[in-house]
Amino acid sequence: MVFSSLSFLYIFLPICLLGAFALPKLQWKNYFLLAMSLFFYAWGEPKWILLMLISTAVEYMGALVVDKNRGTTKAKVAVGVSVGVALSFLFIFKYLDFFTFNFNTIFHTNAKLLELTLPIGISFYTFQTITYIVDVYRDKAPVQKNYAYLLLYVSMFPQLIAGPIVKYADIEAQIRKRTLHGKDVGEGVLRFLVGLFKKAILANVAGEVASTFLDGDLSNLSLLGAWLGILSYTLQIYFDFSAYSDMAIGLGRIFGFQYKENFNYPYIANSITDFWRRWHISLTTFFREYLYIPLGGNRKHQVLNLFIVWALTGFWHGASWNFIAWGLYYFVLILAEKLFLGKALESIPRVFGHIYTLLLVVLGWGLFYFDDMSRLRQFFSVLFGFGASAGATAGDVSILLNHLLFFVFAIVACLPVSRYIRERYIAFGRSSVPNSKLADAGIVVFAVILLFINTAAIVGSTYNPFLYFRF
Amino acid sequence: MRHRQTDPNALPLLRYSRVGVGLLAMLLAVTMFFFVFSIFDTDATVSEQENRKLATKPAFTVSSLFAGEYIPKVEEYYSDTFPLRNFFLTVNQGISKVTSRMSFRSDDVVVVQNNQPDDFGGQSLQDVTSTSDEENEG
Repeated sequence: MVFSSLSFLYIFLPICLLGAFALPKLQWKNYFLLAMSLFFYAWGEPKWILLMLISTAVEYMGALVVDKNRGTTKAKVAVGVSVGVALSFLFIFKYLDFFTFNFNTIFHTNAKLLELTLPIGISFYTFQTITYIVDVYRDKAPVQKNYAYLLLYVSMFPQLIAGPIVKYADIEAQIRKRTLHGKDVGEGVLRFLVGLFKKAILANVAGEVASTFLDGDLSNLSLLGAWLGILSYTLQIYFDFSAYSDMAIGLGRIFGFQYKENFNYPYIANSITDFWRRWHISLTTFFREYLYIPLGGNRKHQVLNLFIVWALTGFWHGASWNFIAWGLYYFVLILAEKLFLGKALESIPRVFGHIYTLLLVVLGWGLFYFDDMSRLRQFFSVLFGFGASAGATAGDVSILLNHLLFFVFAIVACLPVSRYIRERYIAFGRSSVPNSKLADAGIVVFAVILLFINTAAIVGSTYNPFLYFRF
Repeated sequence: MRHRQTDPNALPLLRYSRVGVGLLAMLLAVTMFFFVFSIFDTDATVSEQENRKLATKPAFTVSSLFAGEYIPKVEEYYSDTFPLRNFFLTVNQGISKVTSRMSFRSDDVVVVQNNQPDDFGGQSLQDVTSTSDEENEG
């Protein structure tokens, strides 16, 4: 089930809200949320839900062994085996065909591909189960003796499909005890609706523009078209992904869970290092705490550690060479910043840092977008003016002009302007008693309008006219 | 630009719990209303706006569920027969005018000149051009 669907918004959500608030005890709420989360998952993935249950069961049992044998080799073995099993599931479903295919190409063999469909959310929940057993091993979180509660942590529907990757230690206490405050619930509702707007309007429109330029015949692509395409994709991927995190954080808050922020205005970063502190924070945190530091961090063979972490960060995004290249691209940039570029950036006016970062990030999205190597090469040559069909075509200019208002709005939405408006709004609400009432009413009206627009956009996305063809 | 860590709790937007409860009640009331409405209203069978037959309730079989066919049909049925669908479609056309999306959604009927009818594999052009909503999953 996706959040931006009518079945989620107008069937699943009301039932979920009603149940979660009507049930009296926390225990009942937890079991209800678990049942709803499993239903949510099975809706999109009826076949592979079993894999998630098994994967969780393995970590559950592994952690019990760890807890009983603290400080012994047995505990180490249990962690190793459990993490190994979780990763091997991920490997089989996501990466095995990639390796088989490349093996076949290099050695001219004909090994059969499995052609399995990728279970939804497996990349996210595998990492979550790993944080559980490792946190128990490190004594950062107590062992969970109730399998259902562990499964609730893994399968909790707001963050199951596209993160953020929630660490067990961060959420463990909230499963056992959480209090609902009206303010939290209200902020959650607003956050969810804003996220839905980012997805249903901003990401989708940016995606349509990007697709027009990037998915067609690249030999017809003009220089302007290539840049419009990749800039639109830059907007789309941010709005799409951060929208999902907004909705997850908002829904979590409605039900009393506090998830950490996953994005922090990444496109205002002034260095690549800064960008990765702002983009998909839960993923970089995971790699830092569960891979980079255990490998030795910056204490020993740092360059090798960075290489491994960034190659795997790229590979995590998909089983294709372009994702590895994308990860290694950031390895090179971050290493360069550590060695000399970082200091150089500090000594020049800040604006150059922003330009440098944004340009490299946009080029990075080009690497990320094209998993077909020949198209990737062709696209980059057009982007740099080689082999472009023209500087700009009339069609490109008209698309740009038609979307000018949208582009301005979308670019502003990437900046911390909303935070500024929010702060001004709060200040206004606190200035006097009548203003406070007006501000409160304004918030409710804002929420109603957002829900209305979002619903119209989602219904509109199902608009499917029968087209006449004139031959 | 100042660089600060985002802290959603730094200054709460809502000062009173009752506003938060009001927001939740609004969300629940609206979504519940349409949910219940969709159960009891009579399903439209034809969309004049789109010039096509609307989806009907799919029959449930275990095999269609595990083949991944049943649920997309339910989704299609639910969205095709969603209460006030035509009204929301009209509103969305207004939104599209503001965002100027180039999709074919803003016109009732699009006439396409094409010499090879099989270019689109018998699908409507919408199917061919629509972008996936399920990126970033998995």
